[in-house]
Amino acid sequence: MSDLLQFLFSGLTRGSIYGLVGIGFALIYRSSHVINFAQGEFVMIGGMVTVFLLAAGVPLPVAALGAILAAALIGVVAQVAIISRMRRPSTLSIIIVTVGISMFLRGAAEALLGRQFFSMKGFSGDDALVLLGAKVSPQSIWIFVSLVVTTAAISLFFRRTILGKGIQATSSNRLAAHLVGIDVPAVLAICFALSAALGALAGLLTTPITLTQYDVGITLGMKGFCAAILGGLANPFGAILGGLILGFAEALAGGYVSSAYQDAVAFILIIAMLLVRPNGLFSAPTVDRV
Amino acid sequence: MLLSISSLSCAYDGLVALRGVSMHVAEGELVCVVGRNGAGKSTLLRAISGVQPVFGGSIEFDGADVTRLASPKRVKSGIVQVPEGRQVFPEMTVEDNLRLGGYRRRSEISERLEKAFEMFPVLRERRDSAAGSLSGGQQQMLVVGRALMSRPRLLMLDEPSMGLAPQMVAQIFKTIQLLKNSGTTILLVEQNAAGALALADRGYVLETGQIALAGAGRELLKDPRVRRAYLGN
Ligand SMILES: Nc1ncnc2c1ncn2[C@@H]1O[C@H](COP(=O)(O)OP(=O)(O)OP(=O)(O)O)[C@@H](O)[C@H]1O
Ligand SMILES: [Mg+2]
Repeated sequence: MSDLLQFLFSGLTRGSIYGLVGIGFALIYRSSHVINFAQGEFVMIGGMVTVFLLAAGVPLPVAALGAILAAALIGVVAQVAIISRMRRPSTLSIIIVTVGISMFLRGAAEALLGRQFFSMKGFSGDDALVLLGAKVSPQSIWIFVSLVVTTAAISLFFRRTILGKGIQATSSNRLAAHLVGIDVPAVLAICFALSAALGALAGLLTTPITLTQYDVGITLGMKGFCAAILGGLANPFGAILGGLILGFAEALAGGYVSSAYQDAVAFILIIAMLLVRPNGLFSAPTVDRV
Repeated sequence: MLLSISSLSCAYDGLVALRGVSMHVAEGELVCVVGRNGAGKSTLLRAISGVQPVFGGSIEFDGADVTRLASPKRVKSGIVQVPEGRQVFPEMTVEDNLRLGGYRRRSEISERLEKAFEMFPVLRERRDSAAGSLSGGQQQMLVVGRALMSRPRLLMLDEPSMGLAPQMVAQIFKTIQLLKNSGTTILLVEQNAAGALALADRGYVLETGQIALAGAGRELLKDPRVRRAYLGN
């Protein structure tokens, strides 16, 4: 019983991170029908910038904010300077470009920082708490609370602000969005900024537990992508649930089967999903235009 | 002059769709553009809205050159289009669709929303439904209501009656008449030349990207060439 509880806590922690990364995929897919394979690199940037700002003596909240803003800025630059300038972009060519951006960012991190691991202390120390007989690191609680707060904030943003509605409108009908006066290029850039910021948040939250390295974005990006696919790709809230499902599945597989198979769980879930429910677990039936 | 266009030219991939179109719309006028399929009517409206690249000529709105202005700024200055094909935001609610019409005039959204509901009571009843679930006629009311949310100075309607049942067509034309009477300047594109020209102060006939005829609405209705080509006699 306490084993199971231990696995569930571990699943919740992983799942929350995957969910945060997954929202980024979903936001960009939703607004521009692009899969941004550089999403994982923003996770790396979030962790790295925080580590280095902390080492430079900057207090944690400022370092975290700085890392999130740095990632958002890089996201906007990538979108405005490269992706939005593509002539006749096809889905495939944009995917190739985002893979290129991801390789560039990873390569730059490797050249600047080498291949070693970097770490930082947990936000509230590293002494595990005991909850119902299972050990939980305080960082896991930070991670879970951040996921809840982010989800609530995003939901409010989409339901209550005109900019949030403008993003939905842009994804729903691009021509009509232009004609009601939405600055569509700006909306697309904002979505890239938001996705990068969420990726960076995931990165700086997880670094005390998993450490960070120039190429952590490969695995975390893949897991976030899986979370988004499970959730239906265009649905940010689906991505969160998808992330949690993946996190629990991995933790249970790692605990009861073998940790060697843990990373295969994501692939198995993606393949099963694409075979059985290609539109994701939570996608509403599509509304046909009359 | 509210809108004046001179020698406007547009092309798709080198295929010319508008060649040297000149026309104007005065404040308070209802001007109608008729023409066959593919004549370039929608291209003209799209160019005026700024969602269609232009390779020659100029567009002046309220005395300012807007030829190179980005589309959101044109909406802000009062150029609003209801595009052909009832372009709603299908997954979003009726109310959200309307609110988005006020994207460039946010302070007035609640007040204008009330006006839109008064004008089209059925939209109030369906305010929480997905726009994609409305009937064709209701969607047409929705996109007209959405355009009115920003208090347009020039309202452009692209074939608002297309594909609607006769009863709905009559209602749409009645709405256009009402808007005109309340002082709205309207540029109307229609294939239903008889209905549109009867309503319009002036009209233009567009043929393969060029203005073939221009004149008062009723005169055009009597013109033998128009009768032969567009009215079937
Ligand atoms: N996206 C496009 N790509 C290439 N050519 C286009 C495109 N849209 C329109 N055209 C061409 O430009 C010309 C003008 O088209 P436009 O849609 O403006 O005509 P229209 O008068 O609005 O016709 P309809 O009554 O069918 O709506 C046509 O020859 C059409 O084939
Ligand atoms: Mg047309």
